[in-house]
Amino acid sequence: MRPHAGLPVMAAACLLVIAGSAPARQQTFTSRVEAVRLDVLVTVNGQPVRNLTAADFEIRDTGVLQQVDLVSFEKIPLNVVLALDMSDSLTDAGVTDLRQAAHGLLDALIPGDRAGLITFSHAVARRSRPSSEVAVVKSALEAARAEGQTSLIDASHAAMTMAVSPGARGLVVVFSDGLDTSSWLAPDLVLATARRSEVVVYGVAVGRSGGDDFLADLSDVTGGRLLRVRSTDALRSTFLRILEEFRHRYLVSFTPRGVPGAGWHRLQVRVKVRNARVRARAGYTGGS
Amino acid sequence: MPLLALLFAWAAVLVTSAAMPQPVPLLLHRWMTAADAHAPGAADGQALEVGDWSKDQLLTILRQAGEPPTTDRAIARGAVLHLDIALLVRARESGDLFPAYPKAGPPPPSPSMLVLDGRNTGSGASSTHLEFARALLLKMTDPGLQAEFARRWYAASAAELALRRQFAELSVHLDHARRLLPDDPEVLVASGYLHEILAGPVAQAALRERPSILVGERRANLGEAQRYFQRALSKSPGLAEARLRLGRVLGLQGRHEHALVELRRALEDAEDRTQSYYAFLFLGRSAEALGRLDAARGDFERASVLFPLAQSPRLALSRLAIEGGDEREARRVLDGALDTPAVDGETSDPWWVYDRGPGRYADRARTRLHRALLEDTG
Repeated sequence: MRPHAGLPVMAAACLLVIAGSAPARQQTFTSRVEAVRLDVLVTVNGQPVRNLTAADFEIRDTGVLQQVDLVSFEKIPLNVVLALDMSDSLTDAGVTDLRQAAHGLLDALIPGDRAGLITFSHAVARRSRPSSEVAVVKSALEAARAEGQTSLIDASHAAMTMAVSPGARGLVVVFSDGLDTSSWLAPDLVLATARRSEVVVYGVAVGRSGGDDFLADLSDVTGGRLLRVRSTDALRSTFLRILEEFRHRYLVSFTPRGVPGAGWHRLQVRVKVRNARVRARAGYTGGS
Repeated sequence: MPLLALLFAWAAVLVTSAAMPQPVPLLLHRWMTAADAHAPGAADGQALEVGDWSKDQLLTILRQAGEPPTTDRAIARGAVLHLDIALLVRARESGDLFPAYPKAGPPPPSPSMLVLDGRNTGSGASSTHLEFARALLLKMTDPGLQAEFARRWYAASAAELALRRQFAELSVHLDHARRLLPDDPEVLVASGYLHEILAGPVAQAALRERPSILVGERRANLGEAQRYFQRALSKSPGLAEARLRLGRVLGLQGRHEHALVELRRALEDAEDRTQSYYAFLFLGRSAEALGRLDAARGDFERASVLFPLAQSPRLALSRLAIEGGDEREARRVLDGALDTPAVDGETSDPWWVYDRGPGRYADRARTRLHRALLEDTG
């Protein structure tokens, strides 16, 4: 089988040699089997569980038990993309809180990590490409002003596309305080794209904004979480919490065996820890 | 004697006044003078003065407006004056002026939906001065003139309300427009547009938040929108805006093959580059839904050619690239789009102003109304 070409970073080649009926020559078929990578969060009572090994994980691909490898996530840098709602509904105080929250997260990155910035109103604007220069991203954030409508769905798609980076773990933090009012892309199509992505999306919503449904679904299919805050003054601690939590996720991989190639593969991830809660993307789409 | 003299004197006054023409009541005279002097489209002194009048004063004028010496011309000028007051002077004021409309029955309940960037910001009681102006139009005596003027007045006022996203007011407004002009294509298109909006995520989220509001479910609104657009097209088959919106609504209903037919026709009838752009976008979406990804790509590329700075078709193309497994192409397509400065929607990406509906033509409608005031009633 072949998962979608954009997904895996690890590949194992499997050569099948089949004896043909023609005696003069052998027919050779090559099937490339690629590994599937999963960002997994394991918590007990809301606290991340540490020091698990591959033997603690059980992954089923379309119901078939798989052999799990564990990747040492400490060695893999992060590629963090902030997608921040800067539409009309955000107050001046909200803009200030949002900037401080983003600054806090950027300051908490470690050498090797990269960060990029997207702001959105009706337009989606890439303020900064992913860069290890945090000061550049901070400076770009200062230039953004709140105006216009909300293209939350378009911005989420753009951020996920930007967060994909070979050799890095993609994290997207989407903040919105309102309902999507102006996106072109349909939510179901973006969710379909998200299902193919290794990027993990954390949504942050203020109060009970109308955008909750999409952000909740997006966070869910990517294995992230939607965090709701009462007001924007809680954004800084929330952003830091997301980064902290993401660093404590496990990066596990497996090479699919015994399952059909194309189509949607539902994944079930369990750990051998009592009362543990596991978050990971719900599946992946295999290629032809 | 003094008592008798007083009675005779009183009788003499009554006889004299009955024989002479009735003087114009002072308030009506002031109103007619203000309407006549008002510069259409301006928040001038007349608009400010009449804008301060009480509801009782307005009701008094309305009672007197249908009788001589009030003319259809004066009523038309008055309707424009009060439209300008509602939009320019008292834009934030609303209230129930009339318990019932003359000839038109009671006003329908107003859907509560005033939104800012997706947030419900208040309820939608009807504007006093718009109610007054609508009631005034019913006082016109020449049916032909009334229909012609009302057509332009409703087109201009509905466009302004759409532009300002005053959907609650627009709902009430169009209900009255349809009573007076049941077969007017522009009124029908505006009515379909309103239901298209009410079927959208903002209205539906408001409905979930407050189930009591009169918005209606998405499916019902799409059905209503479809019927209004089809009625408009039955009256005016070349109306590209109606066909375009019908095509989109059919797509939203999942009837993509039907949508493609309407959208191709809309493309042929398109009056401007913006309508062609919309048609290509919607064609692309329906083709994508049908799994015709090459066709969809072609449609989005054509939309992008029409508006090279527009983000929407490029977002669609990048998503299609991911669908096809080409992440690099997805990033390449997005690269240019995301660096585009967020300039004004009209010139950058018309999708951002699609939900303005007739509001996109507000300037044109206003000009037509003011011209009608000068030509038809002057």
